[in-house]
Amino acid sequence: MTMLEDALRRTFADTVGAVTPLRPDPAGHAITRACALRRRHRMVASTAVMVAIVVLASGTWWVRSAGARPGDPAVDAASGQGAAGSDVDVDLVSGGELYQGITGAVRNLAATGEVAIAPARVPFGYVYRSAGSMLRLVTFTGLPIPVGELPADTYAVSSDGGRLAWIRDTDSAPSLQVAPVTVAGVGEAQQTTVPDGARVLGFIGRYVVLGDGQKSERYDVWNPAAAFTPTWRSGITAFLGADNSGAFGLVADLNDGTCLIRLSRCRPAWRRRDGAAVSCRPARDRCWPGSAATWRWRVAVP
Amino acid sequence: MLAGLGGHLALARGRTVTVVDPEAVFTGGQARGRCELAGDVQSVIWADPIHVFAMTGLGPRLCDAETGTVRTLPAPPPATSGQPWLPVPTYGNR
Repeated sequence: MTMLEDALRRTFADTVGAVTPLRPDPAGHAITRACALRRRHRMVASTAVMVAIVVLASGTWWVRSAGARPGDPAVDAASGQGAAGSDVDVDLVSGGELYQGITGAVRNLAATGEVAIAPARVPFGYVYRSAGSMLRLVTFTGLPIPVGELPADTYAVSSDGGRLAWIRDTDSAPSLQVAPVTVAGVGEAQQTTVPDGARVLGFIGRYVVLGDGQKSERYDVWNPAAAFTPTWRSGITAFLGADNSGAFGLVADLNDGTCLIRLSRCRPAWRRRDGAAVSCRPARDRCWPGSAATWRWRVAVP
Repeated sequence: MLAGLGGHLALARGRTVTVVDPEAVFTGGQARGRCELAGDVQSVIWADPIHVFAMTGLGPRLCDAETGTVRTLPAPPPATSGQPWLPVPTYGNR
């Protein structure tokens, strides 16, 4: 009997020792899972903080994938031929959106409000107007360049992208300023006052081209070395723009046609001294004012 | 409409983009080149010294100022602003 009892006890003991508990150390298991969860939460939080810092550092600039990728074929509704656009370095704007043709990315210039942002591409990025008509600079990758408070109702960029002119209509008199602009920001400005309604249109060399903003607009230039004295010139129907070789405009000819004219750096006489309309033929005029002679070319717009 | 690069002008009227060299044309020479586009030109800008980028009602086009040929470019994605895409003026070299 004793032997049987001993054998039974041994059997039970072996069985109990061999059985694996269904949930070994449930408290330890819960603690381990809690630690892992905490580590995961910390990683997510850290990542979120890093993303927030990057977003804040990049200002209001964001990028979304564009439908048109470089190399994507496009179907021409007219010709039915496809072509790639990745080699065309032209950017487009629509409202506050900027489409970079070379990359196919769409970037958003946010905080633009209801103002016409009128962006311009310069060698280091973009200039545009944001809410409150403040001028802003950003690099091509969207990093904001600090420029301080630069309110501008109108602005223009020189043909080399190295100078900026802008007008701010103040309570007293509108202020016209011109300053160098680089990736480091806007340099020291020269300024003058201009009549109400004036707008800045561009540059001819070191001169700033202005329009009086009236319905039949008249034009003038400002030499930043001196205060602006308005001597608005009529007769030009449109100022078309300027490049390294000069500025161009349109004038009406004798037959109600349109002539393309090139404006020289010294002020040309917009029309003949007797007030007669010009003809679309090469003509030589005197600069105005001053005695230096220059050529003013005219040609019928093709 | 006009855009200038390298001393050349691009003039757009209707569906035609004409490229002129002022030095030649103002002294009686001929236009450098001309492109006929499928749709009316909304805006033009120089893409490089040879090509003029034109935004038309049918999408973006590239005019070769020397040969007069026209390339169709990939259309940008729809703008959320609902306003048309227009070229951004470029000043200086990137």
